[in-house]
Amino acid sequence: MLLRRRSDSSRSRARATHDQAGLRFDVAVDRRTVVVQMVLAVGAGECVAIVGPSGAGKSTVLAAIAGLVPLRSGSVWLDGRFLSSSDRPAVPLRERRVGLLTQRAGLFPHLDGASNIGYGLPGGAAHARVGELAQALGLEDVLGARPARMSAGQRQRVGLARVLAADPRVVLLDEPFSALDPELRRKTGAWVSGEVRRRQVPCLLVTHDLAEAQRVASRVAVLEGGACLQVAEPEVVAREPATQAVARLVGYDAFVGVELVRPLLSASGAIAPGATTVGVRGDLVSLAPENVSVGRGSQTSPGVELVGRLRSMVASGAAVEASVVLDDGSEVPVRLAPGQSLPRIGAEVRLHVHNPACFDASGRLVQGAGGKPSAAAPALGRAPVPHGATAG
Amino acid sequence: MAAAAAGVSLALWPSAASVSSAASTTSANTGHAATHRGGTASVAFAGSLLAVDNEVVGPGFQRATGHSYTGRGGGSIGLAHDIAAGEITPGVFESVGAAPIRALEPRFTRWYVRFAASPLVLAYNPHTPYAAVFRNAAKGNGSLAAVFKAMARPGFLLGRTDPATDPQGQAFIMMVELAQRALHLPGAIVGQILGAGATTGTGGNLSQIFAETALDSHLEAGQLDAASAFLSQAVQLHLPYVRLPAAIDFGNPADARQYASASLVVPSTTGQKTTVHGAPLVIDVTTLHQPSATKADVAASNAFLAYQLSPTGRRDDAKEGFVLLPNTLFGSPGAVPASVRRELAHAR
Amino acid sequence: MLGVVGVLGAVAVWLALLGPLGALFAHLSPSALRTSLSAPHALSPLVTSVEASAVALGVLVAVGTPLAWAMTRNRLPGPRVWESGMLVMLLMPPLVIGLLLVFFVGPLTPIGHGLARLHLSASNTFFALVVAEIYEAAPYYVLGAAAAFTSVEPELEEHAWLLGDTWWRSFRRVTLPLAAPGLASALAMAWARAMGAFGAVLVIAYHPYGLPMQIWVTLQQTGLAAALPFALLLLVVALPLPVLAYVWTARARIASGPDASVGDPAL
Repeated sequence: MLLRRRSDSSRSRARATHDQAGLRFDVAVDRRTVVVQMVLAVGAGECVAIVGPSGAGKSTVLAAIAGLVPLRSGSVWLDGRFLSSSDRPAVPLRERRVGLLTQRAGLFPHLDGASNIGYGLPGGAAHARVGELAQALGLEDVLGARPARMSAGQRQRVGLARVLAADPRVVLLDEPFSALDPELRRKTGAWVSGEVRRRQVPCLLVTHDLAEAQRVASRVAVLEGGACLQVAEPEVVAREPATQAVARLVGYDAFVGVELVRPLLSASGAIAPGATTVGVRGDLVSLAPENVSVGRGSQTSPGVELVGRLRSMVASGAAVEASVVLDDGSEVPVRLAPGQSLPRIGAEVRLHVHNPACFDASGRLVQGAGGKPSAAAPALGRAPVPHGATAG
Repeated sequence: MAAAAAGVSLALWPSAASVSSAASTTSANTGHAATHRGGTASVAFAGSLLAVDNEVVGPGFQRATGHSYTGRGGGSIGLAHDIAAGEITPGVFESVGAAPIRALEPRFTRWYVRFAASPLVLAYNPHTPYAAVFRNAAKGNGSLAAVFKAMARPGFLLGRTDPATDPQGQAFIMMVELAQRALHLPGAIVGQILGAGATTGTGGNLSQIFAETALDSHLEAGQLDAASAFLSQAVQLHLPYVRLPAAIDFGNPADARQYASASLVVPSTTGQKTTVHGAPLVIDVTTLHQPSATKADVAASNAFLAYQLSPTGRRDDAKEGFVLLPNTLFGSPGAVPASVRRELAHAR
Repeated sequence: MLGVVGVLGAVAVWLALLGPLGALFAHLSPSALRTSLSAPHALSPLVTSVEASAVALGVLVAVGTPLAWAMTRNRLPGPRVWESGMLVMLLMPPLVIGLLLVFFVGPLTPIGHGLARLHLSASNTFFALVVAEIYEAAPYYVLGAAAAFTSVEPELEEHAWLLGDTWWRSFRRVTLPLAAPGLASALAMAWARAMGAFGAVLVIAYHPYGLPMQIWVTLQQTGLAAALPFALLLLVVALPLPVLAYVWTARARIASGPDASVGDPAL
């Protein structure tokens, strides 16, 4: 009935937001002691990565969209089609056309690879698409084998093929490449983003690897403790993490109180007004060259200077990973370039941090890394779904 | 009478167990009498004697003599089979009818004493539409013929035991035959009450036939209109019942000739055709010669028999619904133990 | 591997447990076997038992399987209550079940009246035998089937639904094949219970004689020697199904278990 009404030529504005192709959802789900909340719209052909530590609620979000867990509030819409909400009967699983690959792949142990891949197809294992997908994913050898005789990586790929074979209208992948080696990981990731674009379906990819998110997804959603902290392009999240918590998730190693920091070229805004904390990422730090006199206003490169004692050095490839302890006890990792003269352990060193990200007392970003002001940074609360959406 | 084995023993053993625990308490109370004498009277008895032996006569015997007592109930015929095969080795055997004892002669015994009879009655359910007819007959102000006519009605729920294994089940069929003649009822009524062929080897209406222990339960649960019962069962379970004339209730040895005029072909699972004639349902008791028994056990067995035949033991049986007969010895008097012989002489 | 002492100990326990069975064969005389089994109608209790057990099992499969599934998939409020109920039935001595059935389905109870309207009686009829066998075997089947369904991960059913299966189709393609070995065990157990049902049968279905009743009556009538052949018959008829189920379960475990990658005997 809803579908019929929506085919009317005169569409109300409220309905127009639902009618766009792609996935949009605004869900709150009970998960043990926390409520997982997330609001997002994923366009057709777009892939969004959900990153966050274990227990953040990433898998719960996928399960909610697939319809496997009841919603506490909110709703899920796919290509303008209602899927579920907390106050209306949900569309049955078999009619949702949601492709879900869970972490353990969930293959049918009594069926061989081909039958697993072809499970959702008329004609099953005999369908031509089974062979195509098996070839694309390098699974020809396991078509006749049961899951118990496959490697973990093969099981994941068979699961992936099974999901895509059934021609889903949305693809939900939970750590789909975790058991693959780096090479295969890159190849399979590229293949998935290609398929998503070609089929013009929305895709949600759960991972805890930001680099993988950057490779496969066009946007990253950061989830922690059940709350969605930021949604943005991967580069933006890396440069302008919305909060200190996001910063920690995307690679910022240390957070230093501003009273310990000596601003360099403060006129260019090395530390924004209102900042109480500076976020330091290893790749933005360098050891101040001994032969350069570092002083207030005498530097050409904007940034801040930190003073501390060298605590440890560990060889890492050609470079050296060093750890510096500041006066307040916080540790800052530094990557020393090859060929640089190395200080002694325990020596006082000065660190030069290029354009650090700055956070206020409540942990919000006030200035992104590279000195950009934070106006556009937090991408929170862009609620694509009505019904009193609450920003996570 | 056909009772204990497999599942049914679940119901039987608890009472036996409570008796043996009573035995140990008794021996403690009566000083060291039991320990000194050291004998155990091991008694095998027909299922219908279960309550009276385990709860009245057994404990009374222990108190009076200081011997221990263990009891085991079962179908008389089945018990005789087990005794003959050496599966059980009781020192005393109380049977319904002498045939099971005779089957053990001469290896185990060569005599028995008859001391009571166990007449058949009609136990009935006081809560069904037919109850009034039975109640009137029980009070003596209604006709017994009406009771049998009620039982012949289609849909009347009658319960009886298996004529293939149980003397009571056989006697009940012959009782109906005798009643038909004695009460001048139409000849077809036997078939109407018991089902076609009840006397000719089919067992009749098989849906009337229950295991003996279960039969009482069905009546107590109110799922039958009436059922065959021994007087003793009806008394012990407080079931309302109709007494039958002695000439048809199989409880009076004087009417033996009358009983013998009824007969039936016993239905058999093995295909043999055996015809039995009616005989009084009497309680016969003997001691059994068991080579494995100690002197003390033999003494205990003899003492049990003497106690059972003594005025006290007889009174217990009378109270529990048995009809007393004069103690009468059958078989060779020379084989009777002295203590039993004394009791017989005493009673005379 | 166990040491010699361990193996000998295992053999001793095994032999002790199977001892009664040895006695059956030791005391079974060929002549008694011939006499008992060649009597007219000697085999009709066997036919009765097989028929009644087959009907009882059919009913159990039809009503017990969905119940077991619902119990394991949290489709019922208070899941512990359902399971406890089955455990109570399991603990109940069959004789007591029989006595309670008298109160429950006896001819003068409300249920008995309802049955009478259908021209059925749960007292001394084939129907009563089936009822008694159902009650004796039900907890074994339901709990066994529940265990079988528990071994199938709900996640797999959800995947089947997401891939477009209806409930029934996923049940047929995923749940049933994966639970099949366990269901077969449960069925075999229930079959053995139904064939050997005696306690409840003695109370509400004395007639028509099934095999256990035949053994009991023959024991009463003519003694042990004549009854043993029927005990052997019961064993021969009731045993093949459980053994087949066991063999099949073991093979299924080898074929799809996680150990399969170690070595498949088929290769």
